[in-house]
Amino acid sequence: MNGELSNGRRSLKRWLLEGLVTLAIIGFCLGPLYWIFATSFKPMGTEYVIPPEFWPSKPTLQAYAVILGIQAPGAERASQEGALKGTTEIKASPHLNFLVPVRNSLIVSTSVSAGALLLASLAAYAISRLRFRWKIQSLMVLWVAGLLPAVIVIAPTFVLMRSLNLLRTLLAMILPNIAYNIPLTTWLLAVYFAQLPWELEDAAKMDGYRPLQIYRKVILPLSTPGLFSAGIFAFLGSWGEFMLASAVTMGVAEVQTVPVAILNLSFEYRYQWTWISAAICLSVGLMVLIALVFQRWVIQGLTAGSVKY
Amino acid sequence: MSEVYVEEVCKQYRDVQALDSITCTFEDGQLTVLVGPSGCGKTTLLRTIAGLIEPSSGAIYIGKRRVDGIPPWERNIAMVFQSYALYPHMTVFKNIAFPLEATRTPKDEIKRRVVETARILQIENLLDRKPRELSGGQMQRVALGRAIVRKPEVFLMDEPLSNLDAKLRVVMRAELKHLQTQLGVTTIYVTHDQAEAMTLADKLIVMNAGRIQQVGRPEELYRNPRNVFVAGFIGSPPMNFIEVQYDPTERALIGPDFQYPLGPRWLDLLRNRPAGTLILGIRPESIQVIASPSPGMVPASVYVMEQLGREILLDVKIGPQTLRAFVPADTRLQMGQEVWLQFQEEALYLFDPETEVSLSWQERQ
Repeated sequence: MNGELSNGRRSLKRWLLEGLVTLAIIGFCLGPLYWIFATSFKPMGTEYVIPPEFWPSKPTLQAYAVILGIQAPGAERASQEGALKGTTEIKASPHLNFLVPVRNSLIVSTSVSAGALLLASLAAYAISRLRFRWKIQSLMVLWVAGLLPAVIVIAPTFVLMRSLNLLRTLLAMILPNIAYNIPLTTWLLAVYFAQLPWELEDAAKMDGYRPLQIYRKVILPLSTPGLFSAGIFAFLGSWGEFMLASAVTMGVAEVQTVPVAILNLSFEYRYQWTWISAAICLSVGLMVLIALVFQRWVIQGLTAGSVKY
Repeated sequence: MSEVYVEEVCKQYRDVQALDSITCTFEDGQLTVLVGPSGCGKTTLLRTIAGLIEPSSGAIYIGKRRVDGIPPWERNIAMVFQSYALYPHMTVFKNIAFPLEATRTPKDEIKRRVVETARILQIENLLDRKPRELSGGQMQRVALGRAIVRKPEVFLMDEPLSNLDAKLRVVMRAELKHLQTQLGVTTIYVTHDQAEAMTLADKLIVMNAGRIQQVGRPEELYRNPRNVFVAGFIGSPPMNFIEVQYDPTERALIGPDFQYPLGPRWLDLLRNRPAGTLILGIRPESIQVIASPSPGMVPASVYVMEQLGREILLDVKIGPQTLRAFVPADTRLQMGQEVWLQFQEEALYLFDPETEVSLSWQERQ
């Protein structure tokens, strides 16, 4: 009886402790995100108020209206004049349009995923299925290439893009990002292909198909889940890519991607945190949405039992 | 439809000789079974004919055409795999149609031939299903359908029945035999199951350790095995082997606990042979078990009795050695009881202990 009681106490203590640790971790991870989320609804100029507001007392969509270009930045200033107290000096400027960088990012990331999947899946098929000379060596090169930090290749990439006359275009981000993503994507897909049964391939050969046809008609359809997960990696990777994007866009607003646009927003308007927060929320929200849609596909692919061996 | 001819084919894997100079013919329209224990090279030979493995040396002909060096997709061979290897993302219809699509057959013709094939195999009602919705037997039929729909020159079958349960296997075995006879396509069938091999084969090729041991009709191999390996492999339960001494002065074989007087046929065959060790082989079904002694019989004691219903499979001991024999189901015997065995002389086999070749094989040919 006594033992049970102390057991109960111990488990309660344990439960509390576990709960606290979990909460701490959640807070650490999600706290900043929440703060950004809350800030995006604050009226301009109230983000520095002390004591800090955990939820804006007067939530507003003004920040979203400004970055989406519904409201001119100057107009907001006028409406907020009283609250500003001269802390923020904003020159009258044309309408912002955050949808442009979002569109650019979508084009870049989609093209990068598609391109990386196409090239990497061919490479992965060769690695996992075909026999050729220097196979191990080429794998090593691929592996080392994947280990190189992006910052090392930024300068040469920039020079390359310049000589190709691609600076200030989306292609200057698409092509290098495809290359950056190939090592990881290839490895992911090679592992996936390797677990598909050999006999399917032999069967297709006997049925009269050549390797490239087998890749298209048997291997790829059976690898939808693998392709989607590798595709998501490439998509997210290029969505968040900043260094190259900021270098090759060279400040031209029409070709900026989301990360670059957010930074420019910060510089140009002297850290208007409500606007920056709204932009981040839009970007993250879009990612979450895309991940959810993809995830549905991935799970569909898995439960469709396309590979049941 | 064509004859397949394999000439001096070798396959070397690092330090393993998987195929050691294989030469054999697979006759046009016949079902030839490659049989042997696992690792004997039978599947390697099949896959070499398929083109999935390139031989280290030698030549392979289908009809008049030399095919080694030609990729599998150009050989016009269909293959049925042990795991069926159905495409999981395609319906049964698409699976069967797949080989036809490779040759750009017109759509309506594909449809006609798939439906016809499905009708032959009685799977018309399954055409819209995916492979995962099928039972083992149904998958087997789809795999067969995919092979026959194209009307290839040769069928290759790699243990196609081994994933089915025992009952279904016997049913499918009969259907397969019927289908093959009906279609008359040259078929090469690989199995490790000698019973399956015996029942299906027009011709048997027994393989061991990368070499062909013997080629012939099933009953030929059963009646006249060339060596100890074939004798022990074909027939169930396998042939009994006893090491004996040949004594020319006594005109008899001396066993661990018995003396077996030889008849004139054997004495004639052994006339040039010095005294020495031989391996005596006798099939369980050729041993008569008798409860009372008479001259020329071999004394033994009952070790185990296995009632099979139609008969009893008896394990008897001669000295340290165990022999198996059949007795009628109503025989009353006890464990340890002394019995006498009569070996029918015409059912006796003698093998050279060195080469393991049958002494009477040449003569019986």
